[in-house]
Amino acid sequence: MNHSAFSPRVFLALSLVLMLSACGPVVGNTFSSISDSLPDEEPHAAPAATEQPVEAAEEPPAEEIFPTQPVASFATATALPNTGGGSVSPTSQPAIPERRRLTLEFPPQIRAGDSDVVRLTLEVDDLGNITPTAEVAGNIVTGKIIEIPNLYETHNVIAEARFDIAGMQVSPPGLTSQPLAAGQSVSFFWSILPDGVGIYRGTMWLYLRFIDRGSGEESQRAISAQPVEIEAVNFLGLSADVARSFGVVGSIAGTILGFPFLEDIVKLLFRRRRGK
Amino acid sequence: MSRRIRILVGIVLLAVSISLLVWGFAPTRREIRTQPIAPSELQLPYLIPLEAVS
Repeated sequence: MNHSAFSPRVFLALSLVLMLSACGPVVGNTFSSISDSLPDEEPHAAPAATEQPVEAAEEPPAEEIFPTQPVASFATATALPNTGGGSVSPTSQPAIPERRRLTLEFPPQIRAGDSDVVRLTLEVDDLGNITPTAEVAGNIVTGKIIEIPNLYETHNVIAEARFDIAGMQVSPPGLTSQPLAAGQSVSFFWSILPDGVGIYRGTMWLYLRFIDRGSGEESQRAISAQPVEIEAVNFLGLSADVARSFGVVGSIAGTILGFPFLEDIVKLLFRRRRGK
Repeated sequence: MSRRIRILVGIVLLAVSISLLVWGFAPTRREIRTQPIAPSELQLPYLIPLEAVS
């Protein structure tokens, strides 16, 4: 050990860098907070190092602060989603290695007496599979691939959807399920029929059910709950079927009454037939 | 005179009937909502140890 290694200047520099890192953004786990704050700290850390022209450059302990060595271990930890906000133990969360897109298609306005279709699709995004990477700018290690266990290999994944809307007939009612396979889309269809005129509000639910292939343990996760508002309308107080019937009959009657020469033409045709 | 009234009634009836037909057969407007779902949302609702995965 060198005497200069324990000089007050070195300790001052170390404590300054540690204080700066402690002031970084507060993220759920310690690893991500350190790795997230690294790029921001670099401009601050560099002047601190330059302030120690000779001694700090020679000190091996000062280099331990820089993240070049432990990036790989940070990377695996930052790959974990920060859901709870608490500290995350060094575990690996199996995930579905796909970016998906949820599409809900429904009629915001429907004719009273008519039925319509509501469609919910969970499809693979056009971007395809994603490769989660950890990247720290300005360091040697960039684009480190993180191993996230594939959930499809360990669990059976089932997509479940439910369309709750009061006052409207929905078929099929309740929860409908479809197995979710890698790279494949699932679609759910509901037929809806409003009981009358009015505004109907409901919720479209989508869950994922995971069944462990080994133990058979089941768990469910709500993925989406979208509010849906459908308005059932009529025309001059007529429902869709009645309006169409009146439209057909009225068009024929209006054509006969409205055209001035139509009566003459019809009479002429009848005369010719009688003459024959 | 009666001929004019008859034509007027016919035209009104025709207009109303065509309106009913257009409304009755017009395709309904569809609303499409798209929501991207990240892989982090398609995870198990609990953490499992690394040893259990491997």
